[in-house]
Amino acid sequence: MRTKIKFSSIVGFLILIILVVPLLIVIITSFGEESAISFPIKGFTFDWYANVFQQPDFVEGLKMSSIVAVLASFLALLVGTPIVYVLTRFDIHHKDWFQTIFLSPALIPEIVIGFALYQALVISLQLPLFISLIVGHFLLCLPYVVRLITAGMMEFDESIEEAAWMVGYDKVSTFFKVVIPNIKQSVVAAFILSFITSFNNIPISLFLNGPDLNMLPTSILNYLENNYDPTVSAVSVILMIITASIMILAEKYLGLNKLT
Amino acid sequence: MANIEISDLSMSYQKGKQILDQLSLSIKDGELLSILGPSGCGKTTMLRLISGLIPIQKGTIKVSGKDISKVPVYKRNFGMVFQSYALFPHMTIFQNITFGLKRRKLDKKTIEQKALNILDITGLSNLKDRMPHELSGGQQQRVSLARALAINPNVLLLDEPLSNLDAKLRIEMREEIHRLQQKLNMTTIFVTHDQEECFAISDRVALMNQGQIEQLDTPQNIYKNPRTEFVARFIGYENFIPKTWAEDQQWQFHKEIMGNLLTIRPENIGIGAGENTLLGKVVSKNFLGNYYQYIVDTELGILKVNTTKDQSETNAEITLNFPESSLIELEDK
Repeated sequence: MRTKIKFSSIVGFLILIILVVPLLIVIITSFGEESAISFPIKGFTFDWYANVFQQPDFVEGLKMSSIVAVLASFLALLVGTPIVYVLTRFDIHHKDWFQTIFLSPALIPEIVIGFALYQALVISLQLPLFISLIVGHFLLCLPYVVRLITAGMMEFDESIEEAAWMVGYDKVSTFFKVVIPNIKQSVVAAFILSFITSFNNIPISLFLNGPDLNMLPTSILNYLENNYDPTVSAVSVILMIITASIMILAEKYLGLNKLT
Repeated sequence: MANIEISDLSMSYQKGKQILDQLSLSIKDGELLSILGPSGCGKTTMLRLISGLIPIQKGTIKVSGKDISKVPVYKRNFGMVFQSYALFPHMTIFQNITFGLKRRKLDKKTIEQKALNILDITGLSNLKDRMPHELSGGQQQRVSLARALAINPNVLLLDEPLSNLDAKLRIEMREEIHRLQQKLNMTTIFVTHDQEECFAISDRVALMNQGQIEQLDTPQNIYKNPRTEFVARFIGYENFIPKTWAEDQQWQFHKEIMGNLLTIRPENIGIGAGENTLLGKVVSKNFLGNYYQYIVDTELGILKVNTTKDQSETNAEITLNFPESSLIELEDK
C-alpha cells in the first residue's frame, strides 16, 4: 500500500516536472535581454512584451482569434444545445448514430478537417475565408458542446421538466425557464472549453487563413520561421495568462470542477 | 370540481407489448381513487395518460364531460406530485409555488396572496425563502404538493408520492395528503404499490394487473371480498383451497360464484375443533409481535395461520378449522 502511494506520487511529481519546467523556461526566457532565445537569461527586460504589441500580426491575430473563438463557440452552443436536448429527451430512431455524427469531428484529424473544408468551402463553393474559418472552428467546438451538455442533461431529472409542463408551461418556455437555468454550468463549461480549443487551434486555421485573416497561433508559427527572439516566449506567456485566467475565473465563479 | 370518465383506454409500446388493455374507469367529483398494483401493471402509464405527459393512443378521457384527449399537458390544469419531488432546483420554495401562477395572467398581489395561502395550509410558511436542496425529503414532497395545489387544479395526480420517504414520514405525509384532499374536495388519483397507504386514505381502490382493472371497490370490500386470486394474493391472502377438494370433504361454504378456489385470511383459521376441519403438523412457529404465525403442513400443502394466543409447538399435530363465514369464493380470471 505504502509503496503504491510512493510510486504514484513519484510519477505524479515527474509528470508535473515535465509539464511545468518547459513552461517555466518559456516564462523565464521571455525576460532575457539577448536577441536570441537562450537559457539561462542574461539581464532582465520587458521589451519583448512591448514588442508583441508592436507586431501587427500578433495584435490582429489576437483580435481575430478571439472573435473567431467567441463566434464559433457561440454557434456550437446554439446548434449543439437543441440537438443534445432532442437526443437526450426524445425517443428517436438511430440515436447512437446521431450521437456519433455530432462527436465525429473530434475523431477526425484536425488537419484533415482543415484541408477538406478548404477544398469544399473555399475552392468549390467559393465561400469567403472568414465564413469557412468560422465553420471549421464551429466543427471543432461542436463535440465539446455535445459531450458537456449531454452530461448536464443526463444529470437533470426529467420529472422537473414535466412538473413545469404540468403547471402550465409549454415545452419551449420550459426549455428556457427550467432546463437552461439548470444546465447553466454545463453551458458555461462547454463555452469555455470551446473557446480555448478554438483559440489554440492551428491545423484548421492554417488552411483557412489569408492576407487579412491571421490567427494568433498561426502568426506565432509564421513569426518563428523568420525570427527566434524572446517575443515568441512573451506572446506564449500572454496566451498562457489568457487561458489560465479564463479557467480560474470559471472555477471561482461557477465551481467548474466538471471541466476536467 | 371535476369527475373523470376513462373509456377503452389502450396503450402499447412499439415492440408490441400491451401496457393498458381497453381500460375503463370513472372517478367521481371529489373522490380520492387509488390505483394499486405491482410494478409493470400499467398504473403509472395510466396516470401519465391522464396527465397528458404521454399521448393517448386509443380510447378517451373526459373531464367533467369534456374530452381532453387533444388538450396538451400544459393546458389541462392538473396538479401532479412526482415520486422524485421534482422541485425546480434554481428557485426558492416561494418561486416554486408561484411559478405556475405566474403563467396565469394574474396580478402580482393575487399571486402572492394565493401562494401565501397555500404555504399556510401546507405548513410551509417558514420555509418559503429556502432553496429546495436545503429541505428534507418530507419537506420537499410537501412543497411539491403545495406547488401542484397552487394552480387550483381540476384534478390532483399523485405518482407514488410517498415511496421515497421513510416509514414515519410516509404515514404523516399520507395523512397530510388526505387532509388537504378533503379540505379542498379535490378529485384525486393516487398511484401506489403499497396496499396499506392506499387503503388508509382512499375512497375507492382500482387494483390493476396486466393493463386491466382486476377489482374496483372500497378498501373495505376489497379487503373482505377479493374477487380473484390475484387480488387476494396482492392484499395478503396466502391460503388457497381448491373448491372441488372442499366439496369432497363436505365443507360448508357459500356457493354463489363460479370459480375453482376458496381463500381465507391467516387470522381467520382457527386452531382446534370447529366447522370445516383439517389435520396438520406445525412446521414452524414465528413470533411476530402482536401475533404468532404457525406454518402448518397439511394435505393441501403449507398453510399459514395467525393467532394472538400461543397455542401449539413445532412438530405438534393440530386440527385447523375454517369457519364458513370466513371462507371467500374467488372468481377465475
